[in-house]
Amino acid sequence: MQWLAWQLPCTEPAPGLPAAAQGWWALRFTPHVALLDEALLLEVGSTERLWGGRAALQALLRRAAPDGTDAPQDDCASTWASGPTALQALALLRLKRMGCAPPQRLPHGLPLATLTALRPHALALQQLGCRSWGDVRVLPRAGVARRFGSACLQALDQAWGDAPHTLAWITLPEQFALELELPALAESAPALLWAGQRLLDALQGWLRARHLGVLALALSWRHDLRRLDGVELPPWHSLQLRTAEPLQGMAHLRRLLAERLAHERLAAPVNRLALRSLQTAPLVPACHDLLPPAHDAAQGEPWHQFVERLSARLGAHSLQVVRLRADHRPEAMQHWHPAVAPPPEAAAGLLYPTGWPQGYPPWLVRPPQPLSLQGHRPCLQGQPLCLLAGPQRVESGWWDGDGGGTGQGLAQRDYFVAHSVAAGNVWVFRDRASGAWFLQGVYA
Amino acid sequence: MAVSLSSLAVPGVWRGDAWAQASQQVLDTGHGPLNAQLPGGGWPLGCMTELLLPPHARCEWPLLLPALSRLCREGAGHAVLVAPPLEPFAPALQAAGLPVQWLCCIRPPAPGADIAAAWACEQALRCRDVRAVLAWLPQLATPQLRRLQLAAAQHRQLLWLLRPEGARAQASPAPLRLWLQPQGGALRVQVLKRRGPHATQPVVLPAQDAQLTAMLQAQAWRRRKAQADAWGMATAVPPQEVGHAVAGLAAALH
Repeated sequence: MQWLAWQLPCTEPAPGLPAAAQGWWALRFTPHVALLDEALLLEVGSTERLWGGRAALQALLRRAAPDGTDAPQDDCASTWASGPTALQALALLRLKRMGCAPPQRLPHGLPLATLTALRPHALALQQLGCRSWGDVRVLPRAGVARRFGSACLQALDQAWGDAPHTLAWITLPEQFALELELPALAESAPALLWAGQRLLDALQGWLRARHLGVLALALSWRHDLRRLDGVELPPWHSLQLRTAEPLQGMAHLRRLLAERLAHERLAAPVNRLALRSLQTAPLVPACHDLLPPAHDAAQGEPWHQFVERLSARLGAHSLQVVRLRADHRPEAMQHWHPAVAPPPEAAAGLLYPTGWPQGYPPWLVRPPQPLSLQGHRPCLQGQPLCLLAGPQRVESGWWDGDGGGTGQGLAQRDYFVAHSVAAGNVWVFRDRASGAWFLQGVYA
Repeated sequence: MAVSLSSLAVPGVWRGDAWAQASQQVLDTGHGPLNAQLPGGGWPLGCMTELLLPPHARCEWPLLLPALSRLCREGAGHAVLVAPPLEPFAPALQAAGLPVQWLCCIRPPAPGADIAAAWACEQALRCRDVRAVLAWLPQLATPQLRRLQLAAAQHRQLLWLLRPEGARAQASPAPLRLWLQPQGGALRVQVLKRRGPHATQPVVLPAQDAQLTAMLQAQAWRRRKAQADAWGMATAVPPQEVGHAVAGLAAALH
């Protein structure tokens, strides 16, 4: 058995967070994790071989531990201690925190104050001449039990490893749902981000221990006021975040949350914040290459994160991808969809199995721009157009109904390639129903 | 110091008279005469390329499509269009060889659109699945131009910035600046700035695709023939007929 004790960054957990949440991050390394007094105790003897030995595991744990303390980085070593039993590890950690060197003989030389069960009786024991655990241990057991209670003896037995020590192991909840009381009323949405960060950290620990990635989560906040200016307020307001690939790293989610919160306006001051995971998926760990990565290996964020982040800031309809449709009306040949949730590739090869015909203009004018007439010739920007090629007749779209003049519906058109001195080659059509001319495309 | 200059091979450093063989990553433009004018022989990667256009001229696609199509097809990455002036017509781009499923269009909402577009452009350069960025940013201050150039250089991305030709008198951090002028059926490309000697002669490229040119020629010939027939004169040899969307759509349906 080998035990590690880790000093919790803050002994008082944030109001609303369960105390066990402070130990979730360690469940990735060993299933035996428990909270005892001000420390987190980890039984690592059973799993250290899986992590490549004791030293490797300790280095990993040091790196993985959340650094909630404002202690400098070189102080990291003073938050860890190891011992053969849980109570010895804890006692050594307390010694380290007090700045004392560990005693020559373990565990006999440990001072009384490092064992919680002996603390209430420290003064009486000192007056008996006892300075260390070993001094108490050699006293007659019956007398000690009568004077100080059997709890002292049991704690000493557990510290020596003679009696079993049952700890309340930390277990993970099935679903992630946490609520947090805010330390102060939040007046603006970005102020929620700081508290949201703590919830995201807890979520990350939960995900790591369960080997899951999160796909969707909901952040909700509770309004402090029931009504404002005579308007009833809903008690809770929530916001959903979704991502395309299961994620464990919180950097992307934090950026998404910041973008979304920047657009939110709080209806009233907020006093509670809750985070719930809506959808999770098993995470496939990244496969590392045997060879070192190439020098010019692509760095930067992947496409889906880029799209989600920009859509969160600019709006989903600002980023669009195009899908082709088999149709003869140019405005119906392509449809733009939000890039966040693109529809699957359509079978655009139905109409043109050998590829799209050449000769369309690369720019489309939507909606078609009406052209004025000089006599019978259409004019663009006051200059008459010279028709170079055409007509190409398109009569299609009867199935879309009349459309009410929105461009949809039955189109009866003659298309021409026309030239204007000012605008170069353009693509115009004459609506056969009304006889009006329209500009629909621009060549170079 | 007996080191001859020719034996020094530092990436990104070359002798002034050997600018055409400059050792930098480039992408073939698909236009031979233009390649000859660019250092390294193509569009430079990791570098902002500024294209200056007259107002209302939309002649960027014929210039960029050959390189862009090959890049998207081979690299299997996205091409991002930032704030295009009109709606790109995907069937035409698909016909020119650009796989349009890789195309992504960013149109920032109206208030503060310029700043948002520049920001989106920079973010796109940072994304590892983006192969090329085309940005139409007419109003952009020099600090933002510099940011874009730095982002392109840092992430080795292709960035084409399209600006009005009025900006050609202003200084710019772009290492390559081209001035495009459509002239009839041709496109005059004047290299204003490059990592090499000053270019004196403009390059003349075809401004429209070959199919459209052939179709217009065929139509003009038909018109002349009809006139000549009416006047009772002999006609010239007809140009070769080419199938075309406008002329031959009915044929494609069968």
